[in-house]
Amino acid sequence: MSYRKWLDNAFWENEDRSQLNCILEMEDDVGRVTRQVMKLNRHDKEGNENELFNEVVDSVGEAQIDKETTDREERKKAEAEEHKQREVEHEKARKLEKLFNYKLEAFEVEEIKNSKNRKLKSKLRRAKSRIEVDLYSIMILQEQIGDE
Amino acid sequence: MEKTKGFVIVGSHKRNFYLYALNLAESLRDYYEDCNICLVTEERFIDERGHDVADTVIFCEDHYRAKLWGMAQSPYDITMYIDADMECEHEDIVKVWDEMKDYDMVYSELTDDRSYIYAERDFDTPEGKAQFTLCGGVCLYDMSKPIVREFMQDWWELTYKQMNDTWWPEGYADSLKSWDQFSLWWLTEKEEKYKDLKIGIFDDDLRWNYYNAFNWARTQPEDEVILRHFSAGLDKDKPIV
Repeated sequence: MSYRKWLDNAFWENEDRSQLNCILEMEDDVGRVTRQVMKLNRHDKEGNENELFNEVVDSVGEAQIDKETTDREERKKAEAEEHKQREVEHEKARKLEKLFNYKLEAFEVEEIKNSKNRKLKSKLRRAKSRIEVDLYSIMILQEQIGDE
Repeated sequence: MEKTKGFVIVGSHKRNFYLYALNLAESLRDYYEDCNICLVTEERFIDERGHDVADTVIFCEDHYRAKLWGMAQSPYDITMYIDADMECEHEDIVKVWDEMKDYDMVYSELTDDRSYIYAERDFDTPEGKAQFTLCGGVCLYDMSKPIVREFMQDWWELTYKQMNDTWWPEGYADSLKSWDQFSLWWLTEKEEKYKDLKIGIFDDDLRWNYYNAFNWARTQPEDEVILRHFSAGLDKDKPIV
């Protein structure tokens, strides 16, 4: 048996509730179900009421559309925040990789390579930034030069 | 007699791996000064630093998966193998031996929620779908047990054969040949001889093998990272200097 219904996840596209985003689900005589996403305006260009728009509001209910609109906004906001956080963490990870490579470069500098000062070399390895790596590298170099 | 304990690190095939191995060994000493370290490397790479940081140096041949050969050569009863491109960053490294419990081998795990960084995890077998579940980046194993010694030797030998095309089972994609995880999967899932091996997963296993490619916002251990794996972000071919 065929049917035609508006899904209850319709939401307002704008604050003045003049446009509605909704999905119409239909089943034909042979049982095939199709869904159509629609953006409906409350009024047409001449200012006449849109019957389809009213049909959705009557079918789904204004309270449900309000709720779905709020839920969707919160969902989108949370998704955006999560995406932002992932980007931040991705950047941090790339930075850490670069720092790792930078430290290995420092350890290949002849004077640092030959240094027996485990304490300073350990500090260099644990450095959290390039500037810290540079500082400990300089300290090791100075010590090596002093020993010469 | 108490079982000996130590770390095995393999830095071979490319000089960068030797440098990563040195860095890892030094980072272990930063947090665990008197630990035992066995460095497996090629004679062409070794320098004073290698001899200084390691208690034992073993020379290996140049092979892409010399790590498995190195794992089988461990001079320690309880051995913690760690991939060379990792770094120790936490003092809890000293607690690693507690993870052995009554297992024969302990690994970190490949799980669905971490799969976004894996190159190939699911695969077809003649019996249906399968997936890799063990990650060989770190492995704690008890070499005092003959079955574990045999396993390590077999893992190396099977991987060697798999990679030089002298062994490959029918019905498996060729793309899997490059993964030592396949030989690990084969031995643990298909070999009758190893069906009773007790294989464990590290507690809070992400602490013991945290891939830097993981997104911290998505994937993080309950406690602080002990061993960080830089696998994905390093240019292994480009000379460091």
